[in-house]
Amino acid sequence: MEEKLFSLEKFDLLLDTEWIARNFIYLDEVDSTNSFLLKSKDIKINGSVALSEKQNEGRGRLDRTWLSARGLNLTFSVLFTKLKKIEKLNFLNMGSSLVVAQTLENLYALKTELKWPNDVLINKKKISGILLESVSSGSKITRVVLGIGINVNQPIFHGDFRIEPTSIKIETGNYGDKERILAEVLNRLELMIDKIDENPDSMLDDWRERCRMIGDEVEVRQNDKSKYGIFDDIDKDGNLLLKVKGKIEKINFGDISLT
Amino acid sequence: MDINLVKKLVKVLEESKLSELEVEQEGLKVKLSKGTAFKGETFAPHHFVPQPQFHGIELKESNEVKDKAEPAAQAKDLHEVKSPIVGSFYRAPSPDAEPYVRVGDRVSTGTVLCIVEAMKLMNEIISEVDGEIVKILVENGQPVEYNQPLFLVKI
Repeated sequence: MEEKLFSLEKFDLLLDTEWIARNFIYLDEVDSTNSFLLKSKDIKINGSVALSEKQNEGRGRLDRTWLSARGLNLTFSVLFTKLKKIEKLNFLNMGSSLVVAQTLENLYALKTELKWPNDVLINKKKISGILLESVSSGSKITRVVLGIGINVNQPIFHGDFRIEPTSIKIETGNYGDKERILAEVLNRLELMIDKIDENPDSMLDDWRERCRMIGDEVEVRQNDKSKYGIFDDIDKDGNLLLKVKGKIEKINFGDISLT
Repeated sequence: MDINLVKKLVKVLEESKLSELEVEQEGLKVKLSKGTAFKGETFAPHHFVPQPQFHGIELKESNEVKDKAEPAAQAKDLHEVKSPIVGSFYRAPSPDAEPYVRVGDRVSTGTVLCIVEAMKLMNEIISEVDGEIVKILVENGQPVEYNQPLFLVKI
């Protein structure tokens, strides 16, 4: 298995952002890049990026584990200190999955699919997971951290998974270019943030186009309970609209799967 | 109506923090009220001990006192932590983990109190004040609305 560590020089040449990743923190090993940026209060620069070759406690929703072998994949987080409107964060969450999907389509001609609210799938398998975390005090958001994991060069995944994982290596047979993927994701992310400020509807349209579960019968698992219905659409805020016995129910959290 | 019952009711009213008492029994209605208006500042509804229920008699709190007392008392020593978003309320970082805080815990500014999740955005709510958790108003895993009170913190 080829372990190829991240080349900062190469990445820097490909990065075309104004503010994202202009402060870049490279970590050989860390518990999780999200936890690192959430806890490191001395890091205050908007758009700071932390990348780690290995996460020992990579996390997903509700502390689920995100496994990634050292040096093979991309695990990184972006810090936002100027996002004050909490209602915009849902757009950032969905917009980020769109950015990852667009990057993989562009660089590797892969056909991607988005799973509500922010997983990126290829052939029904998970290639990227996103976890957005924020800290609020009163009505103010003090810190927002966007964590993204992309499976790039891992040739095999061992274990039991809620959704089977895949990687660029598995899907294309070739090694993916981590520096190129990261630079393109961040370049697109910066543009996406402008877009969700100006025209969130257009981002939601692009997202909707890649969500192939719309119209299907789905199960929505919310903690210990399940709801069943038709995935009717997403609304203007990004909530899932579930049609149950002819009535529309708004869903704003949970795990969805086809029934 | 039995005069002894009325006497008993007068006693109940005198000994209570109520300003008004209205009783209806077998078609007869008696309304008792205290002569001087109760000053709300020292009265907090959360310290209220539930009164015993009489058969067929309804104890009524004065709404006027309650309305005045609530904001004053809360502004003075009780801080309400509210949800900044619509979402799902979690007391712990994961289903198997220990809760961030329990009733009786001392918290300080910056202590993590809970998580509210909306669309896979996990928002940690930290305390704005130093104090003690006196009440947790929402059960783990329940949906919460925008601005819904989640905790009461005694400052």
